[in-house]
Amino acid sequence: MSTVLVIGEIEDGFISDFTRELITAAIALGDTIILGIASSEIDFVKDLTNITGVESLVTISTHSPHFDAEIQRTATDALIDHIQPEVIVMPFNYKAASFAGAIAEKRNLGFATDVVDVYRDSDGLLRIVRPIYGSRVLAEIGFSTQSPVLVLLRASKWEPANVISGVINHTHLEFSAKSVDGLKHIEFIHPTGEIDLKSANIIFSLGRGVGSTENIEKFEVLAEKMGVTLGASRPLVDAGWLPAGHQVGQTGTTVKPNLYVAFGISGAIQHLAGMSGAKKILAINTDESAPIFAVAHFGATVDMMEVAEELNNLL
Amino acid sequence: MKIYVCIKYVAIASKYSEFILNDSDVDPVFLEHQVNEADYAALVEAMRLRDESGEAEVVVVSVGDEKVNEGLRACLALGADRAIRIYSNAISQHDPISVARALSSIIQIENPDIVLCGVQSIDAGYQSTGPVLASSLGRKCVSVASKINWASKFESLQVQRDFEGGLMEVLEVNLPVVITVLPGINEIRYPSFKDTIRAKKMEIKLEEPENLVASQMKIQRVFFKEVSRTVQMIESDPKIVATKIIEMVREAH
Repeated sequence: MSTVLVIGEIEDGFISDFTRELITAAIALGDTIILGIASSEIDFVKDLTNITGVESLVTISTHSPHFDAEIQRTATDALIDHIQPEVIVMPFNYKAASFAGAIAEKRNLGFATDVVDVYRDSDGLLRIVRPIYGSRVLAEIGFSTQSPVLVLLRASKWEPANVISGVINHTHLEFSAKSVDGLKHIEFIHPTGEIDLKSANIIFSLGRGVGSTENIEKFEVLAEKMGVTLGASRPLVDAGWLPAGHQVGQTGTTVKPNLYVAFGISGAIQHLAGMSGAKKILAINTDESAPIFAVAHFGATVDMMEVAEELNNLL
Repeated sequence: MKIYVCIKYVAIASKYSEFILNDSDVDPVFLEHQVNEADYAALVEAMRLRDESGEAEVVVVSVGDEKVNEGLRACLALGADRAIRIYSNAISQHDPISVARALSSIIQIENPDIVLCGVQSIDAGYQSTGPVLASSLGRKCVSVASKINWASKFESLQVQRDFEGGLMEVLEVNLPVVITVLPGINEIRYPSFKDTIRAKKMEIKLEEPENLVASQMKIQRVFFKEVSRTVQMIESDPKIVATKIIEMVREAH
């Protein structure tokens, strides 16, 4: 019997889609799947639904109004202590990556992040696949340890496990949060710009290639006319040309539209991580070696402003 | 006051890479090296904090073989005061825990007030060296910083950190601390020719820690990422491209 602990997360009051992707991955690794969630919002989740393959749910309330890496680390550690799993599966995002390595270091676990595949080989040994030396080469990695292995999986690589009817077997653990001395939370800054990238059907996304704020206005007009949502790469937001709410990528919003048109975006890994799940991707960039073309279905090496001009003429 | 900056001299495999010994690794001939961009950004932040405080020293530290000296020299040319290279054949470059423990074994000797790391490397992208280093040093860690400023009397820092979804948080943290830094936190700077020549003569101290725990990670094989998507190129004519976009938008609506 091997037990897999999936460390899930709550998003907008529900168990996140990403958590259900982790469950799908976990099912191939062991026969008992326990979902563990440590969150300040856990008391407010009304619908702790049953999910295919999950034996039981163990929760901890962190009682912390803020995300605090140290509290999250100790709460997650308490879940591991309680379950004693052979494999621990977590989401690969900024929050989880900020404390997962510390757990692995303290407990001397096998450890890997940005895992794109995980399975057991013919001898039942755990194997993971992740990129090395940039994005072109992948490595299959094994662990020499007898201790458990902690893996952080990349989003959108597995189908989310289904929500099913019935009541989930739920245990709540007591936990007293201890925040770190000498760390003061001052304020949260929420993204500005009232746009909904996450549920957008079609996104026109702009990169550095747009060149000027006047050119952005042209795209704003086009987006309005065509009924599409305007996204942007990080450099554009950093330069203050568009509000942060438009940002697609790892520090921005992860999007899965039906159509993603990338105008003048070269495709930094953080950006690709946020948009490669789009159903159709069209990339427009004058540099034919831009990494964006590696994830695009259609591409054109042409000046984006000339295309904007033609779009305007055709509409 | 001492500020340490952890530097990775990243290795990127070229498109034409070949593999060695039953695909156990990429042939090093095909690897292109550079200072990781986020680490470079961390160095520029460290130098600014140093200059504002008026009395700090910036030490760059990197793990790896002699090749890494090239990267450390670039950092010295840019304005780091000292450089340390850490080497041991017990360290696995592919294992962030192995690398962070080696860093910790040397960094703890001088017990710096601030340790800065890049959020992630562009070759491996673990996002873990900083948090593991902090754990190993027994320090608090603030991850994914997009702004760092002195808060008061050079005893604490005000840090803006980013989360997914464009959410940001401002916090104040007392020293000592480990902070991981996003690329884009500052303007990229390049050393002058004169500084590059000057850095050539500077010493890079070699540290060879003993009793490091062997890495638990073992690469079984390497392979090329399958290009599941072959991009279909459209003729480079703005009008044809615009027509295609309109067609695709209609289909997607």
